[in-house]
Amino acid sequence: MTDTDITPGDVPGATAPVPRKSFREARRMIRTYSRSFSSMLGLALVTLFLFVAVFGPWLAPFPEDAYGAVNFDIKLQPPSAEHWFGTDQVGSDILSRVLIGARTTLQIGLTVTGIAILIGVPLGLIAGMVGGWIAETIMRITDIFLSIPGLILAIAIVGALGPGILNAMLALSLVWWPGYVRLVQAKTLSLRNETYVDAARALGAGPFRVLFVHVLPNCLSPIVVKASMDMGMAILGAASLGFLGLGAQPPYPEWGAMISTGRAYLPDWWWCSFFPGIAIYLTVLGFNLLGDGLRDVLDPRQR
Amino acid sequence: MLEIENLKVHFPLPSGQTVRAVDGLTLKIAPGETMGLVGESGSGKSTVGKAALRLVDSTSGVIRIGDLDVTKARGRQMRKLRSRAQMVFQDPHSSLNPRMTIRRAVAEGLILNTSLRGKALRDKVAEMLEAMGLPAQFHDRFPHELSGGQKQRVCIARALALDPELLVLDEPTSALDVSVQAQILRVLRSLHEARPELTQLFISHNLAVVRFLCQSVAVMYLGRIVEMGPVDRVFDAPSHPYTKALLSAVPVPEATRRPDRIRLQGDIPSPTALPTGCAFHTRCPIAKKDVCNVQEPPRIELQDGRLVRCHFALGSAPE
Amino acid sequence: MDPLLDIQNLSLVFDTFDGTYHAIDDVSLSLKPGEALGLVGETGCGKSVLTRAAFGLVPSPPARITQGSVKLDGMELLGLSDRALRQVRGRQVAMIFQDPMTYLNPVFKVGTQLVDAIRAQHGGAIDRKAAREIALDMLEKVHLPNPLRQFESYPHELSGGMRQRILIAMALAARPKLLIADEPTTALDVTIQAQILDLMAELVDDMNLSMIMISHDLGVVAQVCSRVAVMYAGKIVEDAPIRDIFDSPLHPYTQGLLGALPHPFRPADDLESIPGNLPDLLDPPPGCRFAGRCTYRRPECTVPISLENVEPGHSVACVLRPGEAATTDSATKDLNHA
Repeated sequence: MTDTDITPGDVPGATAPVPRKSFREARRMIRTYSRSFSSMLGLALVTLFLFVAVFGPWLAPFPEDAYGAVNFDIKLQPPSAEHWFGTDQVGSDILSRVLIGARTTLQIGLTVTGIAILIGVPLGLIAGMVGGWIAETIMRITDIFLSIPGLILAIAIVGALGPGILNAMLALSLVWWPGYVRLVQAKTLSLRNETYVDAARALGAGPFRVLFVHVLPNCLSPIVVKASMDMGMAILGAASLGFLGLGAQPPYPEWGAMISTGRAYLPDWWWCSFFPGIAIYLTVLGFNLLGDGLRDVLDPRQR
Repeated sequence: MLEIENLKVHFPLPSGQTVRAVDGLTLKIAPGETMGLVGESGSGKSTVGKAALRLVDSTSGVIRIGDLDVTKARGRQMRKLRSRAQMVFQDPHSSLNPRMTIRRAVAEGLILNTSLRGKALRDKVAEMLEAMGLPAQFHDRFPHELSGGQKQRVCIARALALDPELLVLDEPTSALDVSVQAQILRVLRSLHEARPELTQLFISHNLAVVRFLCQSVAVMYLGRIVEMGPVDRVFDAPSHPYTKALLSAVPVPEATRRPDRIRLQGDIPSPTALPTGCAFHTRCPIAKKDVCNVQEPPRIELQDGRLVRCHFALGSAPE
Repeated sequence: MDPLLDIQNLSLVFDTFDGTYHAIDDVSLSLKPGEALGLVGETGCGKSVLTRAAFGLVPSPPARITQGSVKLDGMELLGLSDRALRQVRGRQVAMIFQDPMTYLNPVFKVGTQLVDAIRAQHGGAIDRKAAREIALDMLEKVHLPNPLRQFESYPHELSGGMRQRILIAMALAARPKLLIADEPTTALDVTIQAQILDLMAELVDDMNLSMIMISHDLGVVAQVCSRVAVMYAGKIVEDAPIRDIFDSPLHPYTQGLLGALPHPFRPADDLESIPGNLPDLLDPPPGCRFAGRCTYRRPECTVPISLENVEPGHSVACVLRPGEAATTDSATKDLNHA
């Protein structure tokens, strides 16, 4: 608060011009973010992942290997100049499969997180704003979902629906939303008591205006932070289902399924599961570090 | 202008108890008058202000702003209430949405209640902010880029933009430093001349500030008014023992300590369990057994027009 | 008489991401035994940091003391080990703060906490029973109603005023040489504040307590203290007996503060407001830190200035001399004397 205070009647000329707020704010955020090595590492990993997800098919040396091409004469070859990550039990190039699998992984992460937000955020807002038996019902159902380990529930759902990548995403989405209800409801409850919400009501703002103009925008930062971390967790969840044979089915290039198939060839042909494993590890790490960094920047308590 | 009759605002607690925040309050403010509503925490003074704007629902009683019955207002009448009565809150830091520029904050009430749009709206907002001493280069800033005093001036501009007849000010300076408080007080006082028709209810625990700003004052204790009248009369010759104690407890900015001190013993009783009879009898230095703890004191009108709720207001103090 | 507390030329900076923040700059302040001093200033003036820094309560980093000395009863405190400082704080200097609830543990009974604190003050050399005696005796001294019953209460069952009395009792049980009271009544209601201020005035008079009371409110300080030091932007600008501060303030900032205060019993037509804001302490002005807002500003105000004794017991850091400001400042005078 170093800008000059102007008393009524004073000449306004004394105030120094200030750069546009959005510009200064963004610069401050970037500075805070870039100060942390781990945040920058997260950003780099996520950027790399997104790049591969978009351009994977063009980067892959043997793109047809990702979709079930079989070359038994070169099966289970160790990493070499031609096949950097080696080849698997049917002679497919693992590097190609990992690169092309990134897109699947991104789809899974976006779908699961997106559906969870679409279900969870409105329910959280309703529970926080309305109160009464409606809120009570929403929150108790949320509690029930939260009390069951997510992956176990997802396994049960996929078990009922049948294995497959779509069903795996659906199952993960169904177990992912309660976290958002919790987050948004708590945030809404505290925002509802902010004086500026009272002030808006005194100005004649109805419940919808209060909700969409005054409450929701102030909930966005924690939602963004949670979503970026959940991207990583959802990818891990999908990989776990794939590993258990409940997600994507071989030869579909999904990292979890690749590890699962490669498991049979451990430890002698380690590269079959090692490289998809590293890919999952780096991606999940990247999203988590990114989320941590965003929290530091967006969390109002830091201001 | 503002008329409150036998207002009660009770809040049920989860424990089954009831907080009797306001318990039978009656007051009247003339058009253009500034009335101070003073009391300590738990006296219910803020609740009165919020009830006047329907930010809390009242349990019983009548609140009228002009010819508008606030407690019964619905739909269109509620809209009318919004342009008739506005409020400025205690903490300027939390009264502004952190994600809105101050231009938008001031525009919000106008968008909701008037047909002003586009350039006309922009001009009106700019005029309101400039009248509060915030020139154009501030208008696109966000609240966290302003100082506390500047934020509070934005809040006043926002409230006045709707041209209200009643302005409720809930401790508008108590979160501010002394020199900033003086700025805001001067702004509010200048409203007396700039908007002579504006009625103000100034809620505060700071008696010195009330003396500077208000023409009349109402002293609250546990949900009721114990003394009400012209500010000079109440401050210079308080009649109710609580008013006397309150005034003699004010730290006065001068070197000599005041000799005529009345010190209350103990704390304010909880508004969940109001004392019987006169609510003040548990701390009152002149309370008389079998009178004050049994009978509710009547509302006595003194010769100078003051209203006092005390059994001994007319001088028949106990021996 | 030798001073009890003697702070000389103390400077403290905070190393922040944006640069070096000069929070305390070349401050000297001393306190005689039995004296009650008020340290007054607005938010950000450094009044709390000053007293905390003197007793090693400002974490370093980010804080850094760049110069000065702090002597308590002749003993230099700067440079003492954390352990030694803890001993000083427990036994020789006691502190009470604005929000008593923060300093009481909600899960233990008040009595238990008092007894534990007193035993710690004695280094564990006394048993619980003796400590309990001392505690009850202290509660009596701070006029806590029903001390035996409150002994068995939990902090949340007590009112703010009672909690503050308990903290005062806890602080004074060790018979400290010095009590630091940091805004002790700011969170309290007016009538409760009056009770606590009365109590503090009584303790100063009867127990011969030496005290520094930090407050933003000159009126509150006047109830207890005999001397006032006014701080602005990390510097003491005026240091004088309470009567002089109110009757003949010399520094324009002190005058401005007084002119900004409404008086409950003397209706005023107008208040003075001090235009402008605190200077940026990341890059403080070279001379007087108030110059940017001062109506009497002169060219020589850019030259560094320190407190100078102008009358017995009255020091001020300003190029103006008694009489110079008063002639042009009749408005403030009227407000304070009318």
